[in-house]
Amino acid sequence: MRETSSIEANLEKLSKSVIDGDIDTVKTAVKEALKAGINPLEIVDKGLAKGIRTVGERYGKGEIFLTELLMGAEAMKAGMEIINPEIQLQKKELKKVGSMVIGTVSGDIHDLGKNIVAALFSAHGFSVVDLGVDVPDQKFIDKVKEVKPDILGLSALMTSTIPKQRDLINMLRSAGLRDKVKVMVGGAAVNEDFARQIGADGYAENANDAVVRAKALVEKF
Amino acid sequence: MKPVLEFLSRDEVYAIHQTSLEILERVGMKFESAEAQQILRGAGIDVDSKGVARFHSDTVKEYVKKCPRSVVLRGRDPKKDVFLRNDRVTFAAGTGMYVIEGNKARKSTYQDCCNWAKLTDAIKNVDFSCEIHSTDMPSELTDRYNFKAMAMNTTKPFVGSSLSRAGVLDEIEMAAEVVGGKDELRKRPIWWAGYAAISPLIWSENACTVFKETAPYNIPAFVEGESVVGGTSAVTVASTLAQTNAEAISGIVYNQILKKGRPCILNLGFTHPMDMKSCLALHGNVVAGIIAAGGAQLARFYGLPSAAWMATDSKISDAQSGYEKALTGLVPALARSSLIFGMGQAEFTFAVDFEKLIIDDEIVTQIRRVIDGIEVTEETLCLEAIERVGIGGNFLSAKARETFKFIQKETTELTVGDRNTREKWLEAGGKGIGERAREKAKEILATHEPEPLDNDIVRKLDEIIENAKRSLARKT
Repeated sequence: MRETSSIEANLEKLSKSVIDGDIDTVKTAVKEALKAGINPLEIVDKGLAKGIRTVGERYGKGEIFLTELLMGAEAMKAGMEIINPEIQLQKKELKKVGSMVIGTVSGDIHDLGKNIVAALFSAHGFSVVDLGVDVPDQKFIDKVKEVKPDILGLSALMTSTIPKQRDLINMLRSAGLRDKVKVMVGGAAVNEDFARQIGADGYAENANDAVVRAKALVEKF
Repeated sequence: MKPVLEFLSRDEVYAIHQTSLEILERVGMKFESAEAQQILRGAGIDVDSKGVARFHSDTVKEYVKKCPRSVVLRGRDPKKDVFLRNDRVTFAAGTGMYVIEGNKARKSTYQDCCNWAKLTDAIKNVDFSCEIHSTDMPSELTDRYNFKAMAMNTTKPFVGSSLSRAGVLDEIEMAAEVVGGKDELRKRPIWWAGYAAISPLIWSENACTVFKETAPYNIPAFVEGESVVGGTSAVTVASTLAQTNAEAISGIVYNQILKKGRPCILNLGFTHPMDMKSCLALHGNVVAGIIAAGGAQLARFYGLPSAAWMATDSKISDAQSGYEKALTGLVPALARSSLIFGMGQAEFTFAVDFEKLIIDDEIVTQIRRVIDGIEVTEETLCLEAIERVGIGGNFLSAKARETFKFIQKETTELTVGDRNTREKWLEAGGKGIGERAREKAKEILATHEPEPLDNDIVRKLDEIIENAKRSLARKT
């Protein structure tokens, strides 16, 4: 009994320090948990991931700032960096959430929103390939062919560059890839209507919503 | 630096002050109360047979110096005490005798006054509350009913009105019951005595009486010059300041004669520029804000707290009411007016609007941010964070963690204003601020429970009101 409760206390501490965005405590708590012999998958699921889910819920309700959302994601990442080698060592496998290729379209060098989305997707267990900013069209297509991601995220901030999102969706179609990947679009000037018009599969107003939508899309896939 | 707006140079402040002194020496100030005339004569002031007092400028200066430099307004809950200073801005609710609901106004009732007190109790930006009138009660007794409603429904300091000598004496009894006796009342006056001179240059019988009866308890005196600019004072801002200052300063002299060291507030911020076509006294006119700002500067010259009024002449919560409230609030706030009345008020000073209080709360949040200015320190310059985040990074990451504590201070958050995308706004019902504010006011009234007043005290307050009713019946 005592052992169960100390495991619970450890996992509780972990999820709380993710919520607090406390990177140092996350690191020590993960190490402690591994040392105590807790199954690394359980550490992720009942500790780290539980924390980041709570952070996401609070952000969704407007209770916390974007910085707190991001600090949670960073704390999560710091924990995962310690735990990932251990998972491989024990020949275990994390439940696959999904994979994503993301980038800011050509002609646009804004990356704040894209980076936040990428960080949050990583925190929620997606494997993320970030192509950066001003990404040449062909690079998106090649990467989709190579990585076969569940989600392709196209970011564009300016009203002059959002038409590029439509172009890229058309290019995917020509390359016979359109039904192989779900396309999500984002950026300040993008909205739900525009996303529908250009034939994207998903749009979200903020990074947290994007994760929620992406998870739903992947499940349907 | 925190910005301080000054409309007057040092020489100009001095010129206005000197003119006020000349007005009090050459024209004088009429005191309509025979009792007040006697008190003034007793202090060696020259009062003629018509009741006009002419003050020697040395006498004025001598008495004004006796005022304490700060005034504390006490709340039923000591944590809600408000320390007024002439470098700090506080905000108060407005008053009225009508309640606006949508496009209509109806007379306010005792129950409205209770609800008003409750709503102002809940809203953090309201530093102290202000009664609205219980017009469903006998007109001679509304001051007592208002007092009871306020005392029961807010623990913040509040402003009442006193309609007669009997009224103010009852209010003193009521206040003593609330704080636990008259000795305690001297230490913790939970309300104050406010009166305006009748421009030009008259102190009414009732004002003199209320100041006198409240003096022994050291209840703060809110002394006002409240002219109608262009009608009861000259049309220029400079002359209005000189005259209303003379009026208010003479009231302060009277109060200091009554009780040396009595806390006084010099309020020139309630003047109303007259509409030169309709003859209406305007409140939302930005000139009122300029006069209040000048008044704040004069009050600082004397080392006294000042006041202003954020007001609108609009009848509904519309764009006019928004911009008038913001301007008549912001201008005096930048001039460091010590207390700015009028949150929730509309239609000159006749009415209150519950949804408007919620919107004004938002305006005050923004005003407070403006007057906080730009803080420049090693810490706020965040050089280390810039180095750590580096080229092309972002300041939302933990690398900039030490800057996050400034988020709340440096940015502003809205409670009912809309900063959403069109989609989110539509999702939430696509409503205007008025509708959202109305819903919020309703929600607060349904859920907020002010710290209750002890049942025994409420019974005592009721007894005082019953006695007042009986003596009123005997008179009529």
